[in-house]
Amino acid sequence: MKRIVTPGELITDKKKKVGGNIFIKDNCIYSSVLGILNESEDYVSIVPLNGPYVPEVNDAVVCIIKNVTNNGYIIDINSHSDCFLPKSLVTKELKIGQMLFARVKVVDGVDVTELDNINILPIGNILVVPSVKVPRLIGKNDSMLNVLKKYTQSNMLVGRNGWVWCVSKNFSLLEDAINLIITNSQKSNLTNTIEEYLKKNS
Amino acid sequence: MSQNKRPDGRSLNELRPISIKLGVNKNADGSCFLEWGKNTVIATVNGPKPIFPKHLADPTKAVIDYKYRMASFSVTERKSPVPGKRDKEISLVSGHALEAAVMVEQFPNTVIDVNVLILSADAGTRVAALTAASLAAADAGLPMRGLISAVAAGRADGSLVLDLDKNDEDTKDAVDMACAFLMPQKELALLQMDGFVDKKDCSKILETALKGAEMVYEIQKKALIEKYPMEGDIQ
Repeated sequence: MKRIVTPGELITDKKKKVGGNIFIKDNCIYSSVLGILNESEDYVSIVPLNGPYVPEVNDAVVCIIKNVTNNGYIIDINSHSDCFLPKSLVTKELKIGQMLFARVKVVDGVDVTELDNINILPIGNILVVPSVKVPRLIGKNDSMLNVLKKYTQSNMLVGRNGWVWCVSKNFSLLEDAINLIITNSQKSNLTNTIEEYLKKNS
Repeated sequence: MSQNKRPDGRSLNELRPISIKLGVNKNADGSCFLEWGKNTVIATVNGPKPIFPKHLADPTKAVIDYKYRMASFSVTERKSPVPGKRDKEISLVSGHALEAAVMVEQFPNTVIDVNVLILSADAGTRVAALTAASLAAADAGLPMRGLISAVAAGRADGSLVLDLDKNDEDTKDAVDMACAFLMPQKELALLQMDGFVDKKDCSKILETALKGAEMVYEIQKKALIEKYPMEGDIQ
C-alpha cells in the first residue's frame, strides 16, 4: 500500500536504485521531502506533494513576458530565476504581459538560460497549480486532460512549470475541478471520480 | 511546587498540549498555525525566489531570511511593534538552526523567506516558532534533511522540568535552556540558556530536552501525514 513519508524519514537500509527526492547517508536511504513513497524490490523514489518548480531540459512551459529591454525580453517562467529571450529568436514584436508556450533548451545549474520552439499564445486565462501535481492533471495518456476538456468545453495547454493556459465556456466548473484534483491528488482512481463530478455539475 | 506536579497540573516531564494546522495561508507556499499551551504562532514560508539587493546573494547556497516578530497584543503589556534587539537576535539564531535542516545548497543565489508571528506569548515562544517554521518549510515542499523539533527544558524550584511556562520561568532558581534538534538524526541545531547551572545538571537538562524533542517530532510527523488523507471522498 502507498504511504506518506516525512522529510528525514528512514526508508530502507538495503542497496537500491534511487529516483528523485531522496538522500543517502551511511548506506541508508532517507526521504528528503513530504511525499508519497514509490518502492519496489530494486527501486525507490518519492513523489512530492508540494514543492518549487525546478526547470529541466525539454520541459514545455507556459511563460509570461515580464519586461522588455533593448535587445530582448525578460520572461517569468514560475521558477526562482527569470529567463532572457533575445529579440533575434522571435519574428514578432512582443509586449509586456503576453503569454508564450516554449521549450526549455538549456539549463545552467538551476537557471534557465535558453528557450526555443516559441509559440505566442492568444488571450486566455492562466490557472496556477503546484508544478509537482502537473502529471496528475494530465493523467495517463492524457486521460484527465481529455475528461476536463470534454465536460467543460475548453481548450487547455498545461506547462510543466505549473501554469495552465485555458479558454473555456464553463470556466468556473473547470476551476473547481482543477482545485479538486490538486487537493485530492494523493488519492487513487481520481479520473473516474472527477468525471462523475463533472457529469453531475455540467 | 509539589514533588511531582507543577502549578498547572502537569508532571515534570510533560509537554503542554500542542495542536497543529497546516496550509492555513493560501498566499504562502507553505504555512503552519501552531498552538502550544497558551502560545499561538503562525509561520509562513515563501520561496526560493530571486534575492534583492543582489550583493546579498550567496553563489553556494540559498539565504534563509528568518523573521521572528511578536504582535503588539501578544503580551499583557503592549509591546512596541518595532523589532528590538531580542527579535533580531532570535531571528538570526533561528535562521541558522533552520539552515541545518533545509538543503539550501540546491538553490544557489536565491532567498527563502520565513516569517513567524507570535500572536500570543507564554514562555517558550522561540522554540514554538522554530517548530512551526520547520513544519511550514516541509509543507512548502522544500527538500530537507529532517525536521527541526525544538523544546525548552530547565530547572524550576529545585527540580528539572521539561517545557517551562511563565510560572516556571518566574521561580528564583530558574534555568531555561531552549534547544532545537534536527530529528530524527538527533543533532543539536540551537542551544540558548538563561540562569546558572553546573555541568552535571546541564547534561541532565539536555537529556530531558532530547526526550521532549522526540515527543514534539512525533506530533509534527502526525500533523504532516494527516494533511493528506489517502482514503475517502473528494472534497
